[in-house]
Amino acid sequence: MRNTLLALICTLAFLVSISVAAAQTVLERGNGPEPDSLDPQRAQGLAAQSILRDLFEGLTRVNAKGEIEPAIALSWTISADGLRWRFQLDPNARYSDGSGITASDFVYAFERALAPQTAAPYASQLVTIRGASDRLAGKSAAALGVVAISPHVLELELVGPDAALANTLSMAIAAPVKRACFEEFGDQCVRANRLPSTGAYRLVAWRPLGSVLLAKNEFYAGAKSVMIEQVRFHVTEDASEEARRFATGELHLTETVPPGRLSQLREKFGAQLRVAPSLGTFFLGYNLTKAPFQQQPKLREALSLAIDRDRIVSVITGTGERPAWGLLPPELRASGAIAMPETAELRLARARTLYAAAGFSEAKPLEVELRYNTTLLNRRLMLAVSLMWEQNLGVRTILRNEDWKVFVQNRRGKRNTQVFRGGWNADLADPLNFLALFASNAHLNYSGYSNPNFDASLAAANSAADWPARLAHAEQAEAVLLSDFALLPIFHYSSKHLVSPKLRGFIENPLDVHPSRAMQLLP
Amino acid sequence: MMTLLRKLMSAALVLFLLLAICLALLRAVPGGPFDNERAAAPEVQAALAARFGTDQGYFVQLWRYAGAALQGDFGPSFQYTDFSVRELIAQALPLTLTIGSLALLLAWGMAVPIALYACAKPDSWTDRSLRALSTGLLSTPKFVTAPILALIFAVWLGLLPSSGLGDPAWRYFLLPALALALTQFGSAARVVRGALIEAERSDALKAARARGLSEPRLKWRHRLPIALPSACAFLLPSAVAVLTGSAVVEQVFALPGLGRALLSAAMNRDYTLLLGVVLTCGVIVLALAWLVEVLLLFLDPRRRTN
Repeated sequence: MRNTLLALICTLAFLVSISVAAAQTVLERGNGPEPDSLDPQRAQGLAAQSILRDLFEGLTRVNAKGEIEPAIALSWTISADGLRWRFQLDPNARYSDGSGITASDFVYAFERALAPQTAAPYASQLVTIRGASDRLAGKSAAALGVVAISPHVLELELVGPDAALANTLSMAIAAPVKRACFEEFGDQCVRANRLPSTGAYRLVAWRPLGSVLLAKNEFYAGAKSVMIEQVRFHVTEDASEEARRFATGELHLTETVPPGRLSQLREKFGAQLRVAPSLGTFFLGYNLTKAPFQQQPKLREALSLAIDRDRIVSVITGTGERPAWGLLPPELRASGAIAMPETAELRLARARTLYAAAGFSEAKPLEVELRYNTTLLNRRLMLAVSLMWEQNLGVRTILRNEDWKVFVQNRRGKRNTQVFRGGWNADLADPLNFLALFASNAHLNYSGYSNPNFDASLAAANSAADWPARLAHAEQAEAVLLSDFALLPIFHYSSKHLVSPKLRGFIENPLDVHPSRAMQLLP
Repeated sequence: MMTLLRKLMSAALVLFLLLAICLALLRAVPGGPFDNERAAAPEVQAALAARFGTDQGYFVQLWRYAGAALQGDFGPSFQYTDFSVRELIAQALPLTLTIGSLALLLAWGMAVPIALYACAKPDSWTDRSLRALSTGLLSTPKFVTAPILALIFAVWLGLLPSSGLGDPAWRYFLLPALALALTQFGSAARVVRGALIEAERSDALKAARARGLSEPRLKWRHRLPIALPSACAFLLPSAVAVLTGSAVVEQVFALPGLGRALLSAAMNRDYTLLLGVVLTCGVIVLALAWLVEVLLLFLDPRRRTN
């Protein structure tokens, strides 16, 4: 009897220890809004991309330091003219259902991404591939430069050299998908326990507007080094609510932190608060297709010089942001950050001179509408900008805050905007990811900016054979943009997370990419 | 039979009007479903519009949605493209109904006995306290009550999870249900108290009292049955208030229910999801109205004769 009781207690203790151990290997991550899709070709939002990085890997991937490294492609060679990239695929690469990944899966994925009916939001990233533009335009018979040479050799043929191709290929849109699943189930292939994934994790549960649960993909090539068994991405739309869940131990990692001064956050969260520079820029855009900013570079320069960026990043934002005098974050410039021009007094004096030269004065002040989407931070920022313009130049600013969708539509329409909130967070560590926003023919060019010199520099950067040349041309393009005062950069963003002391392997990086496969959760 | 048919016809008309008005409003609101920070290229936008039918006119869309609604499906969500609206609602509805029912049970379960006790002596300190408490709860918005409850029970006391949904689910339901119930308790207590005082003045109760019945018997067998029908008539607005209040509470507690889906659909101009959720809420309200009607028939014999 006594032995039976002892055995029972031991069994119970064992079961409890197993359940505790199992519970401890679930990484609970705050992830912002609900992912719009987990279809690698159709997903767009940052929340979706964050989950897809755990679910899918393509030819290349981003590591925990934010660097590009080979993934399913073991190696690759580039032809002398830079137009043909030949990838040697890992013959042991498997989907999460155990079936092999071959070059034809990549061909199918690229064809799917470029088919107009897929409506892939990031499809334009692939136009560097020969025939991609035609496919996007609906010419389905156009030859596509994605060829399966053999089951484990893939060749990409480009329209021109592309020094950033390895970066582009790390995006989810370039990940292979299993044709059989999409042909059998259509859109419903993207379901828990059905979607064959290629990354370190597979999709095991998805509660819309609640959470997404991933489990370790046992067929993943590096499965042995993946320490965390399960990852749950929680929908956390409110930063305060997310911080509350972190404080109660329900989350190990947050997507962001509530607005507030860095010192206050540090006091509350100590070393758990992790702040780092990130590849993003907050700027104001001008509508350059209409008065008062069309053909008025002096006025635009005056408005730019009248903004005290140091005060904005120290008093208004206050969470590790850096003052910006250019569009590109310093990490994407070979020559580092753009220096602040002159002293504050000289800048202000020059701003007043330029303002007067543009035909405005105290008696005849500039009246301008500043449009932004409603958030607490935006409201504070725009109020500060309008006050600086008023105090330093006498500009009368009408603040227009709008619902997000209304704002985006108005900004795109260019009909009733004058100055508007702009901003960009990098999809890739590539300066062209920012600069392309101002290309004459870009659909995201909300300013209506057009300068042949800028376009030429951008084209030169785009077709540069190597990375240093790409960066050099990109800086030239940025210089043209800034000399035209086509935008008013204010600060470069920072990434902000709360990280549990139990979580190891979290490395701050400018891309703010944190794959779960590289992390470890201590008991 | 004819009454049932008439009711069904009028319900169908109400739902159709609801659909028509919502669609008209959605189309009138500036900002489209595919307007994003990283707006897709024009050809992709055109493909999306064709895929979801937003390039069609109002009446074509209305016809399409009405037909789809009859089959119980609105097609895929505009925003969460991997799911159909039916799947999203099927996942969200049980949660909202569970929390809503729990909230109603809590609110009315507390309101009836407390009101009975308090108004045994009208204008006594207990009665005045109940009135003050109910007014206070009634005038406190849920977006204030909900975070305070989370702060007390999750952050300070650590008794319950602060938000989200996990295992066991009931632990995650308690605070949202309580947040919804507190406001409803305020209004329910006032209504029950009013009905009890009204019952006290009724001829039936005076007659019962004249017969020399004991006070507990008077309270439970006479006063409460007289008061219940008029108090229960308030069940419908109370349930509707819980349903609409769930949008706020589910947002605060990050619960993937119908209210959160409604807010998300409105913010994202997700036409199909929004219409689906609004119609589902419409069906729930109509069903509740019928239920309350049946309940009143059961409680009040005079209605049956009428």
